[in-house]
Formats: sequence, C-alpha cells, structure tokens
Amino acid sequence: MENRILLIFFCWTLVLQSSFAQEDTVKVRPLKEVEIRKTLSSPSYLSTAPTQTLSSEKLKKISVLQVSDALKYFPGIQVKDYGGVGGLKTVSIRSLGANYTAVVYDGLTVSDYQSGQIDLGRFSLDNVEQINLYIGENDIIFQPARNQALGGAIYITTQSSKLPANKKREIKASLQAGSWKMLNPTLLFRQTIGPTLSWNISGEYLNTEGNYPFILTYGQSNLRSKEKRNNSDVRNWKWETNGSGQFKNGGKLLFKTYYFHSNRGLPGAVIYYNPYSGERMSEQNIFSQAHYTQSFHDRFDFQANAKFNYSSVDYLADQGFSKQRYLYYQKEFYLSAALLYKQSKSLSFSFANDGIYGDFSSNLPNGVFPSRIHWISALAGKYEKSNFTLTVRMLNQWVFERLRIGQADKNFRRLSPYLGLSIQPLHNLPVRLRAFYKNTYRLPTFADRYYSSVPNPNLKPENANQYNLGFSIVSAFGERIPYISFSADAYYNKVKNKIVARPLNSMVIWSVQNFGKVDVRGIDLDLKMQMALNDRFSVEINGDYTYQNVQDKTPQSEYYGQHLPYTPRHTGSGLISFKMPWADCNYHWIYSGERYDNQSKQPSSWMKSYAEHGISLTKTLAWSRYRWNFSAECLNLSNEQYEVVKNYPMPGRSFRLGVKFIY
Amino acid sequence: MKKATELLKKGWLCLWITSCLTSCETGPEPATEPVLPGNHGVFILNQGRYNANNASISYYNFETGELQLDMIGTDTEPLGSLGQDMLIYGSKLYVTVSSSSNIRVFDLNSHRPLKRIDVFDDNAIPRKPRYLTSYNGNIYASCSDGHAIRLDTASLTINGIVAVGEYPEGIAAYNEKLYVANSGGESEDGPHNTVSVIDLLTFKSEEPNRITVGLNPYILRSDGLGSIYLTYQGDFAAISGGFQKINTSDYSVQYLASSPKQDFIIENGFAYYFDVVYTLESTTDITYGKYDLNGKTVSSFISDTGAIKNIPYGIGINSYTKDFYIADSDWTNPGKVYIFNSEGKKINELNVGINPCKFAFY
Repeated sequence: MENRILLIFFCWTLVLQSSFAQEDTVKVRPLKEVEIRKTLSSPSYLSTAPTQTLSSEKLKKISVLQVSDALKYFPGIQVKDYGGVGGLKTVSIRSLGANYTAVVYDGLTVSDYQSGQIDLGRFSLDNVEQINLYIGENDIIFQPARNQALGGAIYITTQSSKLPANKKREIKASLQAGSWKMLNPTLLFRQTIGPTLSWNISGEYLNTEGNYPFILTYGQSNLRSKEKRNNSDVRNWKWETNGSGQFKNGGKLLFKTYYFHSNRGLPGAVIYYNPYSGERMSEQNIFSQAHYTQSFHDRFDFQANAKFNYSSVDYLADQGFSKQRYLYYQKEFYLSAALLYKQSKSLSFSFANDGIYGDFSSNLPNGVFPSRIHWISALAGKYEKSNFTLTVRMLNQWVFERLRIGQADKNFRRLSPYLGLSIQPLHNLPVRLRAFYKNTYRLPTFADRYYSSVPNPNLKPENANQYNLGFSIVSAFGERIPYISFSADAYYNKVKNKIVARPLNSMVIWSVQNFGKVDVRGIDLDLKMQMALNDRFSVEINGDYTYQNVQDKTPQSEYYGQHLPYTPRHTGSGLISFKMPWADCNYHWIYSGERYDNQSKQPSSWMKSYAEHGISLTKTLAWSRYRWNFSAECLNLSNEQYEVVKNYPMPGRSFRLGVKFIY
Repeated sequence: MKKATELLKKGWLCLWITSCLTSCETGPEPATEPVLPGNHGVFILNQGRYNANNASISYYNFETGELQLDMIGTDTEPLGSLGQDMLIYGSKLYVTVSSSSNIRVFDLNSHRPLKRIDVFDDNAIPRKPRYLTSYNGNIYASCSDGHAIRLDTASLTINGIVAVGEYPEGIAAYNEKLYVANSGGESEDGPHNTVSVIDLLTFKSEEPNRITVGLNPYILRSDGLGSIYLTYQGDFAAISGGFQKINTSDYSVQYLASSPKQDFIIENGFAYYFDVVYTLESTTDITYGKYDLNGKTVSSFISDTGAIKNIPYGIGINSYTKDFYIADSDWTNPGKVYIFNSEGKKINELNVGINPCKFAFY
C-alpha cells in the first residue's frame, strides 16, 4: 500500500514536471520505483550546473512555513532574513545579491520593478509540491527565456490539479497553530471533470502576533535587557486556482490565478533605548497566467505563455509624531513563445522569445512614472546522451525605458552566453563531472535608476561572470544503503559595474552608481544518503556545506582584497530523518559562521556565528478513505539568540502543532 | 525610496560646534576650575550608521598623545543610534543621540557618564533630539517632533518645552532669544524655509511670526555680536543651498554666499567650512573655505587637501592651538580625523569611529 502511494506520488510529480515546460529533460516512462527515485532526488546528477530539489515530503521534514525557510537548506544560498513571519526575506545565490535570483512560480517568473528583489517570505508552502534551485542554468531549453536570464533561479511548483486515476475529487484541510498566536488554516479542493479536464482551488489564512521575546545585548557591553519584538503582527490571505485541460489535437492548457493580501507591522531595526515602532505595510498581489503547449509531428514542440500581474504596496511611515503614507503600484503584461526542434533523440534546439511590459507608479512627489519594455530572446541547443550533456545558450535582451515625466528614454541591448557540460568519463564508475560558464546582466531597477535622491538615469546593468567546476557521485551499497550521493562544486564569480547606493555628501544625499568589483570564490558540498535498517526503520541524511571568500576588488579601494560584509566564510545545514513504524522524527539544523557588518573588522562590526536546531514529529493515520496527518514541531530548540541582519533579532524557541486532513 | 526618506528624516549631519565657547555665559552650574579650551584634549562624536546602534565618542588626549576609541562608560552603556550633536558647557559634556532619543551627559573631569536623559513625550513617542546650544545655565535642544526643549544643567532634567516648526534642525541663542531652524525636512509639503524665535525669559515662541530664510535651513550659529549665521540646503535638486545672516535686532536676512551649505564654525570673525558639490557621476568637488564675515571674501585654510581621503563630514578648530580638525567618512567603515596646523599643513591623522562628525575641545 505504502509503496503504491509512493509510486503514485512520484509518477504524479513526473507528470507535473513534464506537463510544465520540462518535457525535454525528464523521460516519462514506467520505471521501477528505485529508478524513479534516482531520477528525482538527484537531477543534479545529470545536469550541467548544480541543482537542488526539495520535494513536499522533505519540506514537511524541515518544519518550514515559508519558502525562504526551505532555501536555507540549499548549499550556496544566503537568505537575508529580517526575522519573524513578516520580516523581509531575500535570497542571494553564491553572494551575487538578491537581484540575481529569479523566482519562477509555476513556470513563469515573478517580477518586481521597484527593488528587483522578491520577498520569499510571502510564498507559503502549504500547496507547494516541489522547490528547485538552479545555480547558473538548468538544462531545460524549452521554456520562457526570462526564466534563465539571471544568475540562478528558484522554481516553485504548486500542486497540480491532476488527481491520481482512482480519484475523482480530493479535499485537503489543515490547521497549524503555534507560538505568538500563530494560526494558519488552509484548504485545497481538487476535482477531475472528465478525462481531460481538472481544476483546483486553494485558500490560506495566516495570522500571528509575532511579538517574540528576545534578549537585547547592548553592543559589546555587559548590558542586557529583555525586550519584545513589537509591531510584528502579520495577517495574510492567499487564494489560488488552477485549471488544466487537454485538447483533441494534443494541446495542453494550464491556467492559474493567484491572489495575495498581506497586512503587517514592520518592527524595524532594534534601536537602543527607543522601543517605539509603528510602521505598517499592506500589500496586494494578483496575477493570472496561462500556459499552452503542443507538439507538431514528431520533431516540433511549441509553447505559449501569458501573464498579467498587478501589485500594490501601501506603506505607512510612522515616527510617532508624523505619519506619512506611500503608495506604490506595479503592473506587468508578459507574453512568451518557445519552439523546440528535436533533430534526434539526443540533439535538440530551441528558440524562445519573451516580450514584457512593466510599469511603476507611486504617490511620491518626485515620481517619474517609468515603464519598461523588455524583449528577451534565447537560442539554445542541447546534446544529451546518458553519459554526456552539452547545453549552449545565447540570450539577447533589449530594454526600452520611458518616463511619463522627464524624457530620459533609455534603450540598451545586452548579449549573454551560457555554456554547460556534464560528462561521465567511465561507464562503470558513477562519477559525473560538470562545468559551466554563464554571463548575466542584472538590470537597474526603477528604484535604482529614478528614485534615489540624485537619480542616475545613466546607470548601466551590472554584469556577472559565473564559472563552476564540480563532480557528483550517485551510488548504492546493497540493501542497507539504497541511495547515496555526493557532489562538490568549486565556483568563481566575477562581478563588475556593481550597482550600489553611494552617499554623495552626507548620509542624506545618495545616488546609485556602477561602482566596484567583487570576486566570489567558493566551494559547495552536498551529501545525501538513505539507510534502511530493516523493513520498518529507515534513516535519511542530508548535509550541505559552503565555503566562500567574497573579496572587494574595487581599484583604489581602501579595503581592496578584503572580505565583504555579511558574507560568512562557512555555512552549512543538515537533516536527519527517522522513519519508524509509530512516527517519523526529523532533526534539522542550519549553521552560519562569523561575519562582519562592514569591512573594518572592528569588534563592533563583528557578528557571532549561530546554529539553529529544530525537531519535528509526524504521524499519519489512515482510516477508510480518510487520512489524518499530525505534526508537532519545535523550532530553534536551543533558543539561540542571533541575528542575520544586524539589529534585527531572530525568534527564539517556538512550537507548532498541526493537523492535516485528506479525503 | 523608503530608504531615502528615512535617511532624510534621520541622517542630517551634525556640525554645531561648541557654540558655547564663544557665546555662552556662566550659568548656575559654573565650571569647578577654569577651562582652557583646547588644552586637554578633544572629544570626537562618531555618528555611527543609520539604525546600527554604533554611535561612539572617541577622545584624543593632547597631553599624552593617546587616542581612546570609546569614551569611558560607553562600554557598559553604549551611546545608541545616531549621535547628532555634542557640546561642552560648564563641567559637563552633552550629547544628543537622535534615533535613540536621548541626551547623554558626561563629567568633563572624570569623563564618566552622569546621566542618560530619555526624551519622549507623554505617549511614549520619541522626540528625537537633534542640535544643542546653551544659554544662561540651560541647555536647549531642537527635537524632530517639532519642539525645542530646555534642560536644566544643575538638576539635569527637562524643565521646559515649546512648539516650533516641523523637523527643526540647527539652534542658536543670543540676547534672551532662541532661534530654531524649521527645516520641514520630511514633512508632507517638502522642505520649509523659516526660523522660529523663542523668548527665553518666558520660554514662549513668537509664533506665528517667523523669520523667512533660505529653503531647508540647517545649521544656525551665533557670532556673539548680534548676528545669527545659517546654512540652508535647498531641495538637493533644482534649488541649491547657501549661507545667510540674520540680524537679531530687526530679524532682517541677508544672503552671503553659495557656500557653505552645511557645516561651518565661527572663529575670530571667520567662518570655516567645507563644501561638497556632487554631480551625477559621483565625482565630488570638495572645497575647504575660510569666509571673512566682515570683508565677505573667501580664502582657503588647508593647503594639504589631498591628505583627506574620503568625503569630509565634520570640522573643528582648537581655539588654543589654532589647529584645524577635519573628519572624513565613507559612510560604512570607520572614518579618520585629519589635523592641520594654522598654516594648513597636515600634522596628524587619527583612526576613529564610524561617521565622525563633531568635535568638542576643552
């Protein structure tokens, strides 16, 4: 029974993957379970660039509520976390900065024209099926061009509307409650209408007071005080609906609408002796997207995508004695088409072209109402054999910017290549070598270009060159160790024309400029292992480690060659999960080494290393056609007091209880 | 943009240098021994970074040549966030810490902290004290919440409060009157252009009558002879800043020059200043000037300007030795203080805290 569920689950994930723009990598054919497991849990094994996957099964094990929490378990990732449920969480891949991270939600990228950074805290995990991290690029050449236009991408895939063949409809309901008045009910309904049509709808509410206690340490002094993180309340609503259908001509259509509303307090930095905090933010986001794909003859596949996105932010700046409201609006129209040509079983070519219109407006007195047309084309080729993969891609970007006020029309074109290679040199040795080179342009955001105190319309795109060299091994040792994989990658990133905000004559007057060079050198290690003690007990172990050296290479810089702020040399994470007959138990932790918040390396800028441990217990009960899943979690077990961003304390020990019902 | 507005709100650089040295009179809290300014040493206020709780006071001892990076007592109770202004009056050193919303008082002889005066209103909303001046036994501070407060130097308590314009900045006292620059800073209708006048005998403002000055008035400073000099910053875009003079007898305002716009000190009939003219491409045009308040001519006072590495952020003068002090900053890392002799030659260089901005000599 359990094996069947597992198999269904895996097949279903395959269907999901293949139904959405990944036709060319995953071979859908009936496989034995072990084989499927291999393909799924180690896609990095075949790819030309490092890849990581977290399935919904594993997401449950690491007790995470938000996507950003899950990403902390990937090597080479730095999550900038301002603490709490409502605190901003952005993700930087290999110290490139959050603007190099694309977030692909069910096949299409999520955009932000104002800051270029996506808050990954707002994506909940309840209806997420899988999260993939691709450093550099993935080898899926048949997908929208924008998905691969940045230094790396996080693909969030939600549950498809498709049901297992034996089910007509399904209801899932869950409720989680936890410390600081956290309450999180969710509901998902899926239905199959006839052999070709299905749809689902899911809703979620998240409420928390978030006023966790923390110990305030006053600099390097012995002074301590007990404080609370006030004004941290969060109220989020999310609705999502998906439909999928198949036409008689073989064409498949996926449709999705997403609505998100958030109202939360922004507690801000902890300021000594001044506990006042009153800033608020209310956010709304709605988008609709459609994906259509069809095959012509045997050789051609075609897909088209369309998306409309609207988001608004209502920000209340509050100093107590003065309150001001700032309103920001963004909208985007996005069309994409891609054609795949399969020359033979192993050789294929694709061309993808995206046209995007985005604009930004606000109630700011110096608002210039910028809009941008972004035209991205990608020409790619892939040669793939069982022991050899070669992916080549050329990306071309045209950007046209207009201002409704002022006349700074800004047009530019950039060309950036990708070259990736993966090879298994010896047929009977399960070692695969991989290497990639990628060139990426990070476009200035509207905030960068038009909303600094001295706007700089001449700002150029920032450029990064990424190099990676690594290997991976996947093997098994008898019945006891059915699966073991290890990968190691060494990387080198060279960033130039870095976009930084620089004060001009005081902290008040600043401008955003292309200034500085950065070299990033690092190593990522990843180990995954499954051990079966007997039929009923099994253990799964995951471990990740990252070493990085991030150096300021700005000519004439006083700190030339020195480490950049907020870049720990050592980071790591781990997960051990025990599968037992009476319950499943998972133990997980993340670690970050010491770092500094500026380049001077003075004691006052030092930030201590930290480790956060967590433990969770889950139990599934099945009765007739109903399934109940109970979970109990303890986060930050050792009640570690730490900060990721200076003066933004993270929550201490907390608890969560959850129950999930599936019918 | 959010960052910009917050910076605008909280990040005004400080300059109000030891006005009491020239303009104050002895109050009810007289110095226990006669203070010879510039004989012992200099306190350097390091503003710290925005939201970073790393304001500090460094002390450079002239007698031993020793630099003490952090003042005594601040290791057990750190200053907090955004050191804004500092002055010596009588036997005490007063410091406003703006984001932390308090005024810290230190004993001048022992350098030990005496008191932290939290500046909050009745609803526990921070007033955020900004600039300081002294007059007749009292210390006055402008507060971002649109008030000026009076601090009794003997009891070290706030014993008076008066409403002025929005986002007040520089403050100066002369002849029973207090002058407060209403910058308007981050108010809804942009920067303002007035100076409020407060009668110090009644501690009541002369509102609604205000003196109209340049846009975004910033630093006020009395020459002790009946004139209040002020800089204004403009809107940082189309309207540029400049230097003006208020005649305290008839409140008339006279335009003097386009520089300084921010930081200056008055010493013996001259205003010493630095000015940073920025362009889009960041190449900053930095000048150091000496403005003759009577002759209205400009000359330079530093010959060794190449010695200053980053952007100047603070200026001071040792009245005893006539040495000039220039502090520089790169806004994130610790800054330096450069000491020039009266001929303008660099004679020393000190590594201090982040964003050094203020000097107090004694």
